[in-house]
This record gives sequence, C-alpha cells and structure tokens, in this order.
Amino acid sequence: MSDIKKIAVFTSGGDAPGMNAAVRAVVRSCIFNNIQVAGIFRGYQGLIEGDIEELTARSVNHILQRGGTVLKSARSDDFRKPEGRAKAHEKLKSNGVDALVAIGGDGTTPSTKSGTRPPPTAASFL
Amino acid sequence: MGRDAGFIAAHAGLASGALAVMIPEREMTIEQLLDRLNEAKRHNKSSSIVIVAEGGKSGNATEIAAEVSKQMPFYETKVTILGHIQRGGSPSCFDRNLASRLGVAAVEALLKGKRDAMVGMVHHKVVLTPFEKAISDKFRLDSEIVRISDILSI
Repeated sequence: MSDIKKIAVFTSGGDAPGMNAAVRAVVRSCIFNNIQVAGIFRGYQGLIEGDIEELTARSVNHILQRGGTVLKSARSDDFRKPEGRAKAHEKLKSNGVDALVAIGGDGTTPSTKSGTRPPPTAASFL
Repeated sequence: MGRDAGFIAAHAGLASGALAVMIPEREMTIEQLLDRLNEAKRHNKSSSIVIVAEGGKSGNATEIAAEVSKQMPFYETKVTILGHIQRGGSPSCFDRNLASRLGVAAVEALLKGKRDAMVGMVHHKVVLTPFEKAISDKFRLDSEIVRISDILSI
C-alpha cells in the first residue's frame, strides 16, 4: 500500500482526442480508491500559478465524448527555469498533493533531474 | 505534425488509401513522387492522395503540390493542412477506451508505489516505462503499415 492521500491531474502540450477520457479515468479511479483528487488547470503554468481545484466524480460528467481538455493546456517557459519548478513544487506541497498524473506528449515528461525531487508521477501519454 | 516521426502520417495514409506517404523515416524525393503519380495515371487512377509529414525533406505539402502542378498541369491539386482541427476532434471509441485504461492504470501504479514512469500500451497490455527510457528511446514506425499502404495504393 502507499501513503498517497491526494493525486493531482493535469493536461499539457498540444491537445489530443481522448484527453478528457483520461482525465475522467484518473478522477474516478481516485474516488473509487478513496483518495482525494485535484485538477490543475493550464498545465505546468497553472501549477506554478496555483490554478488548482478539488474534483469529485461528478466534476467529470459528460466529458468522455468531448474533444480537447476540460483542464485546458498551456506551454510554460517558467517551468523550464529552476525558480518556476521550485514554485510548482511549493504549490503542490501547500495543496497537499502527494502524486501527479500528467497527460500529454513527450514535452510533458516531468523532469526527474530538476534538483527538487518531484512527487511520484505517473504520466499517461496520448 | 510529424516533425520527427511519421507514424500519424503513415496511419492516415493507410486509412485514407493514399498513393504516397512522405515521412521522415522513409525519404521520398519529388521525382519519386512524380513517378508514382505517373504510374497511377497509367493504371487509370482518377485521383490520388499524398500525405506529407512536417519533417519530410522534400518540402512541405504546399511546396510539393506546387511542384506537382508544375510538372503535371493536367492534375488539379488541393492542399489540406491538418493540425489542431484534427487534434481537437472528438475521441473515437478507440481513443476513449485507450485513454480510460491509461488513466486508471496511472492511478493504480501510483497507489502501488510505482513512480516516475510513463503509462502506455505494448501488445495490447498496459505497461509502465521509466521516464528516462521513455524520453531517450526513439519510437520506431512499424514498417508493416507503410508496406501495406504501398501494396494497396496501386
């Protein structure tokens, strides 16, 4: 078992059909496993700015069939800088996030060599 | 799209019955394309679709269409650039099921203590690949797709 109590999910980079289906799957499987789930809006940039919201199973109603991403997406130059990543790490801690699920392409891969050790991250690549 | 990898172009080529796919993995010169178009004409093909990935070295779709128009003026060429129109489209049944499986697998992997990994599918099974490996390995195009496309485009 793990000590994860809260997972945050976000989408990043160019959108792809199926992103919403992945967001829904992450949110509902968190609820199913009795852990909290938060949505980060606008990818890494939104994370740096603290654009984070608690989600419920009902937050992802009727998005399975929709294109795009309800969590929105963005490119973030700030996240390429160590200060940006430190800020992102801080926001995760202050929001009680223990783990991240990133949904995106190869540009979304969290940097595991970024000085500050990121929280446990699983990425669904679409 | 297809700056480094032509797999979307190759799949689109097979699905649309394209005469030719011009992708980074398999260079096709303008001369080779013209040969194929001429051959298609000889076989009484009434129209031909050519898929051009962004990373092809023979130029972009507009440039290639202009060259074809110049060399084969009897053909009316039309160019459609797919980009966010395609990427923002509604998910198909396949997309929805793939994304649903990957999303659940990501959460279950984290709850099992796994971390720093990409969730993906290999041989129809969910597989975790460490980020280090995921970003260093180059995705190789399944040459079978291009081979079949070549057979069916005669």
